[in-house]
Amino acid sequence: MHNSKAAWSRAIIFVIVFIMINYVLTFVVVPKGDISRKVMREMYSQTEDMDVVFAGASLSQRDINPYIMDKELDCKTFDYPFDYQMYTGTYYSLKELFDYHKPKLVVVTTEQTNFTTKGEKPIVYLSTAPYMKSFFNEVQYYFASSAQDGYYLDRLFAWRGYHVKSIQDAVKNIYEKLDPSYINYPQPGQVEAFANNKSGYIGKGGLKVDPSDPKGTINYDNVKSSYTNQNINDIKEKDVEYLKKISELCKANNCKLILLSPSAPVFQVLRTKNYFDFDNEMAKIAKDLNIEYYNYNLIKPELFNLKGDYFSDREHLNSKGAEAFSKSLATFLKLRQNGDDMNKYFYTPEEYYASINYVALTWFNFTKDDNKITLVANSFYGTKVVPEYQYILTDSETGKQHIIRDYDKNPTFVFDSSSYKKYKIRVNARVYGSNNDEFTRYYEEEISK
Amino acid sequence: MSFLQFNFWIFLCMLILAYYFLPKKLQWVCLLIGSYVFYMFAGIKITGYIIFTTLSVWIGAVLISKINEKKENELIEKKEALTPEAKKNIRTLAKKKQRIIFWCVLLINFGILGFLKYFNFLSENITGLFNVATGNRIEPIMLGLLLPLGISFYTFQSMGYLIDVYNGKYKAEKNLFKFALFVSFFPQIIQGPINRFDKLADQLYESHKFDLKKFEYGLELILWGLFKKMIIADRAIALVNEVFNHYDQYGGGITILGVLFYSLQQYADFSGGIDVAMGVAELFGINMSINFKRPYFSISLSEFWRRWHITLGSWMRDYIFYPLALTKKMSQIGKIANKYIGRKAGKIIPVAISNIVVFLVVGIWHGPYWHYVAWGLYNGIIIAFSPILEPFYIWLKRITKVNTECFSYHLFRILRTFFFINLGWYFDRANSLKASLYMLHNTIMNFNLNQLMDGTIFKLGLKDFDFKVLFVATVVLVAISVMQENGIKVRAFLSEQNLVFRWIVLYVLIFTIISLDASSKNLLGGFMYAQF
Repeated sequence: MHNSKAAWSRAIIFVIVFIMINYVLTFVVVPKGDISRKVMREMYSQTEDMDVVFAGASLSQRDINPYIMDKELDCKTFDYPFDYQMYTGTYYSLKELFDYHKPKLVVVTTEQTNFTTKGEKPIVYLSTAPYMKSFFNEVQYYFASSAQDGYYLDRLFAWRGYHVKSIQDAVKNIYEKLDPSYINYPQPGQVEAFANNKSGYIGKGGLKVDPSDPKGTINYDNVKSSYTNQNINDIKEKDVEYLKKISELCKANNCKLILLSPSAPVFQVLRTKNYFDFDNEMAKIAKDLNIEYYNYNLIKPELFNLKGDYFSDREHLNSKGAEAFSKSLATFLKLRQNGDDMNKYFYTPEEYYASINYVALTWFNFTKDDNKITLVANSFYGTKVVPEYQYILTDSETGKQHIIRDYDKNPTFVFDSSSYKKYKIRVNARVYGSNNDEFTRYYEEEISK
Repeated sequence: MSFLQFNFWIFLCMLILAYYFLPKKLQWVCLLIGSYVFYMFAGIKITGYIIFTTLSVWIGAVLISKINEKKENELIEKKEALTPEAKKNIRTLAKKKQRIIFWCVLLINFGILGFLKYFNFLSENITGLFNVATGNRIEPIMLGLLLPLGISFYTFQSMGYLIDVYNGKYKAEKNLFKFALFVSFFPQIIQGPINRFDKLADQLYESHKFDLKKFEYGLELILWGLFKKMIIADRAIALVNEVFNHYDQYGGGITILGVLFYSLQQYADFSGGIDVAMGVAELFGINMSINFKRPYFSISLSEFWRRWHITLGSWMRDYIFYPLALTKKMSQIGKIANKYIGRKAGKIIPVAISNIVVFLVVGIWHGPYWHYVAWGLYNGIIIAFSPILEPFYIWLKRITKVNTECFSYHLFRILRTFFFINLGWYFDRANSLKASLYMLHNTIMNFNLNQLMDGTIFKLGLKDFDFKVLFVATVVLVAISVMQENGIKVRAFLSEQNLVFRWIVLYVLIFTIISLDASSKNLLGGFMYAQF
């Protein structure tokens, strides 16, 4: 009686209805796929084989302009990055790519966190896996990524943590998902239409940030920073394991693999106390896995003259920087292809530190003891630089400025604040002996009683 | 593997398939292998402990049984030839041998449990006392001992079996592997219930035909357990942890709130985990012992302990309380009390002492900390004193002419019991005895009503939305409990409803659990009783 056909049918229908409800929920509340979906679908739609693929996360997406690469390398290139993707995701998305294309070279952009991450954010899986054609690959990716962080439910039921905020958004979401240009992306002309965008998605996996946009160029002043540590012991076996899998995947497909740390703002390198110890470890891991590894932070100016205004934020280049970087990278790849000894284009860590002949960033910390304020300035700079600091006080009530201490090598300054209720302190930093009154960096903070 | 890990559900699906597709006579073997696979996920090294307990208890019980059989056979065979004196000698000798084996196995296994669980605690306290006495500053020896998963539960379950065999309640299981399944049956291993051999064993070893209805019931119980754990407990714990971990920052009002949330969290966590365990067992056609019976509806503290963690309570009753209360020493104490204080005292005092000892053991069982000892003593003393104060209550009821047969009086008794239980939670949950006392003092002397009004509540780890979810979920929990308290069997009740209604209820439950689960954020999916 309990195991009758009717009972079984009801149980099966119950499961089917459950799956349907889940599907409807996903369709209604999960935001429509954007750039990651476009990239994945463009990859499938590429009729011509790709020669060079730039994989990884946002560093490839923003730092490498695929159109410039096409032109400079005179071959078919494709940016194949997915935001916040770690090696686990890169492996499975590359696995998907190799089912459809046979590139000769894959460049995976990387950063130190790729080696220390405990797992990839579920959002990375949710924004890429649903668009993979291979169900088997998708399932494998699901288990691999979920096993790392335990977020099985978040990846299985996308609507759980990844949803629109209001009913209006849900209606809009449905409407947009039903749009033929979305459903059938990429239709002829759609990718080409992106190519001339000054900012945003430009097709072929690339993304531009206009330097003239309010957030298009980083402002180095007024950034309060601190030193940080990158511990070699934090390197996760799982991350190395997936890098190894990427390497083996490329090898199995007769494809060369390059691991590349793109340029970051100088202060980001200087603030990490053991940056180059960790970098050496990365290089060692790559060498053990037979992967070519290059850190573009060490590149000499003859190949890439890094400028501060190339960056849009603490990690990524804006379109001006991306253009310069892409051209340089193309030259680099050509030289490498020609068999040049590429090591000669890179500084050693010591040479790199010595090459930073300016103050990259400055800030101060303060302690209060009644009216006694102790200011301690700090900054990032190269090994040959001795910084000096000037303190300026601006009375917030009157707007008057006073130099409370002129340039001096001593970063600490104590002053009596009893005459002021609310005021701003600014520290200017410059290289000692630079023979002019110009500071290179400043930092300002308001202090009140 | 925890019930809240995805791996577990994959493991379970595979095991269920194997269980029902394999020949019926191999079902128990399948469960045994599954149970050991489950256990090994917690670490292969610690599997040695459970194997040792299984082997030692099995050998001990078999030997005890054999001695008994031999004795019985000898008495039957030589029935005519033996004098009463000789029969007595045979019995005494057999009992002596049995006792030696029994105590060896018992002490070894409790010794292992005690060593792993309490060595550091004892070392710390003994060294502390030594330092105070001698003025030295010797560092205590602290060992990095790894507590095997579920050691308290399987040790208690195995010892219960050994005691029963020793007392001749039933014969020892001759098949080692069948006995190994009784000890390691995976749904019970993390946090109980502590099953009895005579209730569970046959179910484990007999064959089970797949029954869709029972399977559905099992799934419904699992869902209900997950609802309690993932929606209520894992949400309430945020506030509980904040209040108890930073107890010196909050006044009495917030402290009371923390204790009340702990009441909710602990019940939802533990009973939710037990529901999942029982539901999982039901998927294999096995019914385990009930461990909770809506304890917060109890009208006295002793009733509460008959409704909360029932299997531990009955274990303590059968294997500690009765053996202790019926010892010659207790009888002597009773006689002395009878002689010098009165007949009633003669009856009450041995029971009171036994109760205090039982709760002291329960407290220590919870962990090697003084606040657990205090919590055990608190419960033991209250229960011990209740019968002493009973004449006073009767007198009070008589002179105040209170109607004890109405709902309001019943409600009063429930609330009174709830108050005493919560007072006990101060000792149970606090991080130390000092913290418990501080919080109690704060509750009385520094209520700080302002903290309840000034938005501090929303800085305790829960957002406005979480409070709303908790409120609705608690209302559902209470409603279901009231139904059960009135004798309604919820799963049977649900199965009688129309299909659409039934399915809507189930879908709402499933999607509520999926969407409002809070476990993945803070807790890594642990059950609080898994640590015991």
